[in-house]
Amino acid sequence: MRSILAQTQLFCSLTDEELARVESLGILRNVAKGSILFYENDVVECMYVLLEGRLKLYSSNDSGREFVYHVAEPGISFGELALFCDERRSICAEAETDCVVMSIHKTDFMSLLLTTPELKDQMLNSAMKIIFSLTNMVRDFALKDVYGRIRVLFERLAQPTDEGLLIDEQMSQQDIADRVGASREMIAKIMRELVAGGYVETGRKRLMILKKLPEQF
Amino acid sequence: MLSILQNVPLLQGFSEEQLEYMVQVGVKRSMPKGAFVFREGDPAEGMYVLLEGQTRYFSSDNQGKEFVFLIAEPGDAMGEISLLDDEPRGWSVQCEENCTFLMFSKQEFREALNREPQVKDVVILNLARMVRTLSTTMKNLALLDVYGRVRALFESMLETVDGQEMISQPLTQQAIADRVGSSREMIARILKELVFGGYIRLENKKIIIIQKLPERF
Repeated sequence: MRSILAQTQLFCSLTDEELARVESLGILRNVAKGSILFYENDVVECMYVLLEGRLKLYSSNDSGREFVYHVAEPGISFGELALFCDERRSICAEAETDCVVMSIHKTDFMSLLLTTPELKDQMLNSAMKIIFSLTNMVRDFALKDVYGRIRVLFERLAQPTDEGLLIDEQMSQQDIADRVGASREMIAKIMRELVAGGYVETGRKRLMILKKLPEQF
Repeated sequence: MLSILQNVPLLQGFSEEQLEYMVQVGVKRSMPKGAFVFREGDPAEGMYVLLEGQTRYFSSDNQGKEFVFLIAEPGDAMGEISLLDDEPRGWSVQCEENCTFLMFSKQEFREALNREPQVKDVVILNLARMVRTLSTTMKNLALLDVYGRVRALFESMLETVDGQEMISQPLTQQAIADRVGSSREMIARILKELVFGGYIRLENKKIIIIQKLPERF
């Protein structure tokens, strides 16, 4: 666990001793695949570090439509900004796989900030990153069509490999739809066209980008 | 000037000396309605505390379509993010009315951040609030239809004047469209239906709410 904490951006500047303190304040929790760590509107009481598994941060509406902001991987901390200004959660967190999460209670985290004020610099850093990514998301939504949003998502997720640009995340059409705020049918239609045009190749649980996606659909 | 700063929510808890120092190092600037405080992509040189007036933060695409992220009110800080990460401005800020600011250079801001631990807390709080606002905006864009977003915007701007619920700030159809990510034509249609249905009345550029807006259009 210590090594994951040391890799977490929030705690990356801490000494071994300080990390041990973080560890002693943290409470470990197993969150089974499919269960909810917190719901929208839950009272904010602690911040979290994801130690194992994948966790989906999302919002949903009355008709069950979801929008996924981010899929968190081990070594990501979240909820520390909410300790500063929010009383209630504005989003929901659900385990995509079995997860192990460490939680630190608000009062403990605030006392940690007093003894290790350099944590504040990391908080500023992560706040800026979140603002940057939210600004881009909002801009894409307000100013781009569905295809434009898919293109941005693919370009962000694609990793260069020996075979070419590959998206290795297991994404169903519904998963893509939930990340770009469209219907599954719409995604199916766009994917069909992209495959027919020789732009992408879909395989088992993966997606290969064959050539640069067109600017316009 | 000191009394204005004392009323800035972000600066609550600052001693008189600290506020006086701010007034000393800050440069007071006035800008007319329509002027740009800074533009998206500009290199960042300073940050601003808005003393009087209103500004809007927005982004636009190359066809001139705009989306307004937020409207800043007196007391809000603007432009501090780019000073922290040295990136160019992530959005444009334009004066909606004649505005006055207190401007701080990059160097002054950075020095204050390191010298006064309180400043860091204030900046974290401000960024945390911005994260909250942006994620609500994102959620609304992804999960609500245009009418739902207009309704959410109206509810966030609602004031009670002489026992009457209204939006007293003058809002053009284009301004509404730019804040909810839609077209002027669509907004015109929605407003017409709301007037026709007896939900709202338009009077002297004010929107008077006659009865609670319907959940669905």
